[in-house]
Amino acid sequence: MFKKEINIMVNNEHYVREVAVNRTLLEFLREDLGLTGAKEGCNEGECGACTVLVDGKPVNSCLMLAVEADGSYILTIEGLAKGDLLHPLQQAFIDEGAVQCGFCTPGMIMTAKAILDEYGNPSEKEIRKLMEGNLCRCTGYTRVIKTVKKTAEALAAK
Amino acid sequence: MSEYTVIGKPALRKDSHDKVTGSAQFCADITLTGMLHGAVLRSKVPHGIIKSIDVSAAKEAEGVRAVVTGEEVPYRLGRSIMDQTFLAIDKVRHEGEPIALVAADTLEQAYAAVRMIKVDIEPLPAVNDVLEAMKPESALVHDRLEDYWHVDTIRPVNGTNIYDHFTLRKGDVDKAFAEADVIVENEYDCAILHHAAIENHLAIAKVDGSGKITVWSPAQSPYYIRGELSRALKVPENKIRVIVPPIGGGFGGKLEARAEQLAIALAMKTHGRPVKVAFSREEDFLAGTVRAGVHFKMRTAARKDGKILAVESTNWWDSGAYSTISPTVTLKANVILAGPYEVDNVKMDGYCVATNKQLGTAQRGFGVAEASYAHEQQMDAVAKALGMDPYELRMKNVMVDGCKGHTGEKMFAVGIKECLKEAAEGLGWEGHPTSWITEDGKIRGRGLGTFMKFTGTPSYTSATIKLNFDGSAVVSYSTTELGQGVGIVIPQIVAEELGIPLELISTVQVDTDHTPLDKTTTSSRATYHLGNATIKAAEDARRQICQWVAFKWKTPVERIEFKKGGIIVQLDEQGKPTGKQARMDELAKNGLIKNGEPILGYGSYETTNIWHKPDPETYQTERLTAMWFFGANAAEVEIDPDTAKIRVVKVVAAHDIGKTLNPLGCLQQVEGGVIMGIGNTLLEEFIHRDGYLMNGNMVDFKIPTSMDSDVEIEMRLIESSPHPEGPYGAKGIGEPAMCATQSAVASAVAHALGVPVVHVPIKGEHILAACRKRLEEANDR
Repeated sequence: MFKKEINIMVNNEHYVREVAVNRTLLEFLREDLGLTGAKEGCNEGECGACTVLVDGKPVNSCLMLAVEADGSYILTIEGLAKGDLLHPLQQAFIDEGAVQCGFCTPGMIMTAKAILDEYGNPSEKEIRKLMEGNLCRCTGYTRVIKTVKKTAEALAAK
Repeated sequence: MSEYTVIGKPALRKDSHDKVTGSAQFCADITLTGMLHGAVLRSKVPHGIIKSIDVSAAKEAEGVRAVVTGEEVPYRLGRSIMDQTFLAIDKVRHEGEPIALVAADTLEQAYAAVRMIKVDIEPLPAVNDVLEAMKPESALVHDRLEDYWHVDTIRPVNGTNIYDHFTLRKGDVDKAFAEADVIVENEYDCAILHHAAIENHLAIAKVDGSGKITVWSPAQSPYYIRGELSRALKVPENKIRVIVPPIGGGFGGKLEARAEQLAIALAMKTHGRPVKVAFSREEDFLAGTVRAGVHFKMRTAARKDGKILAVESTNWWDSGAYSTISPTVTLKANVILAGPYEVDNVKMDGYCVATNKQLGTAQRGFGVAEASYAHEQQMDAVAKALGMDPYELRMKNVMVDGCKGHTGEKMFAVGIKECLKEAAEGLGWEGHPTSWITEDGKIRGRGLGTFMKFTGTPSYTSATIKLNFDGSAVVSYSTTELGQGVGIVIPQIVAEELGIPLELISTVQVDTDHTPLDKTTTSSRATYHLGNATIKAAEDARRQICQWVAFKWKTPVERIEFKKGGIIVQLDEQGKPTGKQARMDELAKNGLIKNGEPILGYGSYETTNIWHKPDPETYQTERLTAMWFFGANAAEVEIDPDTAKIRVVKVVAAHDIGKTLNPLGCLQQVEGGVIMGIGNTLLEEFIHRDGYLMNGNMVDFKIPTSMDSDVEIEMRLIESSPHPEGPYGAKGIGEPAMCATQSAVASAVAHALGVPVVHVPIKGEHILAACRKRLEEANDR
């Protein structure tokens, strides 16, 4: 397979790597960089478990090639906390009981982060619509949506 | 004030931190040194004869380390009937059945080699429909069922597609029907559906020089899988070790070995190098497991005052190409198919049937959600025939303490009446119509669903509590954490029993070489069984602690008392406190157990003695189970008559919990269960054509999204019927959470439209005509 050099920032670290042109961003993150927080649930862009932020936008990393991310800044779940200080969303997911098996959780939190960054304090209805692409089989979403809304409100009040 | 300090209070899961930071290592995240990647050649046809397999090119392909075909691994799996080989031999019986395996240095190389395997299959007619499968002229999925070993509790019928014929007989059904004022007769269908855990099946296997097999797998029930593999491979259990990383959802789907046997088959040929086999989503749909489809014929007899006199059913479970644990699903559903009602005459015939489709197995509820849908539709139909309120009819018939159950046993700790009352109350049932048209022209309906379920018995489990010198404790057990919260409720029990702060109690990764024996993580059994075992382990630890304190204080042990909250008190000769005492939460400081013998408390719980083997023909027995669960849901739906789209507005879920140990954990289970139940009722369905799965992907097999789950959910936990043998009186909640949602939503739709719901999932095309008719009727008035 052809390889191409990419120049990429991931979680505030700079990488120059040769990658096969058919390698997905998800494979690159998980296998080449060992960042296994993003999960493969369907490999067809339906479940959202692989969600990472590419230049701030939520992306199903299973549908994006690593070479397409050349020159981009990637944020994964591993890069969300500042050292030991969890991002407010991470802390809220713990405190509000929005985590069960946890397989979808990294993707959920990354999508939620993108929503808060872009919309500030959206309504519950808007959050539901914006998180539609992240599937969860345990929680029924109730706690997840409440948690995102509560965090948005808390951050907006600051 | 509560008599407990930790029990009954909301407690946060211990594994959340790792799960929100991405540091939790699921099985897919594990890479072992020297690990190879496996790929599977799967059948493209649902039924056929394998004429030839040519793996010569694959063996020579780049990076390939091992190739395996069926004849090399002729081992049979099967809890009920040993009918399933690791790989197809001579014949394929469902689309996606594994035929050959490749292990290579990279996954890409493994797939490339799989594509080089030439397999010639002569297609056979597929057995696509469960009722067709019952006909004498039907093709046979298994030519000779009699050649397989089976457990003596089931009855396969040779020369047919019947894996098992289950029967239950109570009273005189014929007489009751002859005397009835009203007889209601209907047929109902439930589609095949998929667990759709977000994590697919996968496993890593390694076989070392001594022949010891180590498997890393998100197995719900590692000891069950170990037993299955041991029987299949004819290898002693001590030669198999199952290590369980965090599990990305189970719901019954991860009970059976799916990827484990494939990874082992490869690892047996790779000279100690581990092999990972990970299913793609498509493979998970085709070759994971499913909730079986079922067709019910139901007949109910009632007196005009509303007393249910008899329930009779014949039902056929579409259990797919291999039997797995499906005969037990058929059994469990049939035992409760008359509902949580006192019925003197019951006759059930359940057929567990083979077809050329995916493997029907355990799914959250184990047949009860489907059965509840059927018996509750019957209750609504009886109410309609008698002109009675559906709630009143149910209340008149619900089981009460001391009544005779369907299995002839004397029932106790029966909380269904309170559940039904609370569910109806939560929706404001009384005096409210069950069907009406809103101002904006939508059709609304309200319905009720009840269920009863029993936990698998006999059963066993065990726990150990290791106390550290710094006052912390480690509790270990082999019930797995699949999101349901066992990993917090068990530490809560330890905290309660030993007076150690919850944050100082940790749990251990489940590993059959290290964590103690446990039957399964199924059947909503963890809190009850493992809770009891943990209480005993804590007792054992307390006894040892008291010995050490007695030694340090130079006091006879009879004069050391371990009080609630972890306060250890010295007593004088009259049994009065001397004033000398120590606290468990200060063990690190007070040094009472420091440098002593290590304290290791052990406790086990098993239910063999309380179980009485039922009569094989009538299924009557003195006691069938350790624990019965009851619950009721009340639901309100809104239907758009133009699109026939159904929206669930509200669900009130009332559960006979016995005693709530972690209210937050219960809420998580109930919220998740209700939405899963709504998905089962309105969205999820495997569509087959001639045995081919038409919608085996996440796009076309719909599970609820956040947009489908905008439902007001009210949980009511009923504690008026504590279980006398349960930990603090507790029962279970995992499966109950969704067992009555399907029935309540179907009941609401049936009421809204005035016609029975005869098929779930309920799709727009099923009800569009009824919507139009309902509106016309409303306009005529």
